[in-house]
Amino acid sequence: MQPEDLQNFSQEEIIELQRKNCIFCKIIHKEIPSNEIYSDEKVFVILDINPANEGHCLVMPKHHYQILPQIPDELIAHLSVVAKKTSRAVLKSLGVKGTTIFIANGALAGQKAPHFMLHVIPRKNNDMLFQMQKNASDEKLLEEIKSKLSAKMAAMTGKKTMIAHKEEPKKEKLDTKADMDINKISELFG
Amino acid sequence: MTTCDICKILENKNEFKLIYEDELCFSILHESPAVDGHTLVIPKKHSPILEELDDKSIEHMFIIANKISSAIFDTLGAHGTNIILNNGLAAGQELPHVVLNVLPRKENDKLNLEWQAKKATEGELKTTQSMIKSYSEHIFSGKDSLPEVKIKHETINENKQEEDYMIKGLKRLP
Repeated sequence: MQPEDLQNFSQEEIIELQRKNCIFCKIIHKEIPSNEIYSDEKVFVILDINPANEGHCLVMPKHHYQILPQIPDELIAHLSVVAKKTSRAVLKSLGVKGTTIFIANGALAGQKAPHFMLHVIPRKNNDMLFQMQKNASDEKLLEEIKSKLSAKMAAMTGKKTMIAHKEEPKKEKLDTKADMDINKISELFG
Repeated sequence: MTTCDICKILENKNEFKLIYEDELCFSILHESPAVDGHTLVIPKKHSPILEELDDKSIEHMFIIANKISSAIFDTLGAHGTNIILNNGLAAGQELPHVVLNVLPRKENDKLNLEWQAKKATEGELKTTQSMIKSYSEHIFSGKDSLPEVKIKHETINENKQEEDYMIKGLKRLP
C-alpha cells in the first residue's frame, strides 16, 4: 500500500488498520509470545519486556482501544481492580515498598503504543521516577481552570450540586459513550 | 476530628478548588500543580494504601478520573493526559490517603515522566513472572479482595508486616 492510499481511508478504516498492526493485539491473541501474569475474558496482564523497574506489569483491555476516554465505564472499573490486584501481587512477591499506577493518554503524555494500557510499576527508594514538581499557581488561573473543569464535569455527569444522594453509583447515568471523537484521537498520535 | 490532611480537605472542601463531588469521591485542583490543571481525584473513604481501599471506591475513582481526563482534553486544550497513582512511601506518596493525579499534557510543558527502559533478559523475565504468579494466582482467584487470600500461613504473617510497614510509614508523615 502507498501512503497516498491512506488519504482515501476513513478514520474508522485507519483505526481498523492500526488494530490489525497492533503488537499488543498480537500478544493478546498469542501470535507473539509474552510473559503473562493474568488473563480473563476482557483483560490481559503481562510483564513489560523493557521495564522501568523489575516487575513492571502492563494491564490491558483485550479489545483494542487507544486511550482511556474511549473505554466504557464497566471496563474501566474492571481494569482498575485488576491493576489493584496486580499491584498487590507485585508488592508481596518482589518485596518492594511501593508501586505506581501510570496511564498515558496520547503520545505527548508518553504513550508509546496505540493500545491503551495501565502500567503497574514497582517502586524503589530513590529510583527518581515520576518526579512531579510543585509549582506556584496564581489564584486567578486556578479559579479559571476550576470553573471550566467543574462546568464540564457537571455537564458530563449531570451532577451540579454537592448534595449527596442515595443512588447506587453503578446505576448512575454517567455518560458511557466515548467522550472523544475519532478525529481527535488520531490527532493524539500524530 | 480527623488527623488525615486529605480528610481535612474534605471537611473544608469549600476552601479548595472543588471540581466534582459525589458520594464516593471528590476532585479538587492541586494548589501547587506540576502543570496547570493538575487535578486530584480522591476517594472519600480514608485508606492509606490502594490495597486497603474497597473495590467499589477504586472503580469509581478511575471512572471519575477518566471523566476529568476527558474534561481536560475538551476545555484546557491538552494534547494528552497522564493519570498517576503513587502508592507507598517508596513511590513518593506524600499523605496517608489514596490520591489519583490527573495531569494535562502539552508540548514543552517541562514535565518529564518518561523512564529509562531497562533491558530484561528472557531468563530474568521468567523468574520475575514466576515470583509474581506465585501470589497473583491466589489474589486473582480470591472472591473478594484482601482477607480471603488463601496462601501459606507463614507468608500471610510476612505479608501483613509488609502492608503494616507501608501504612506505618505513611502514618509517620506529618
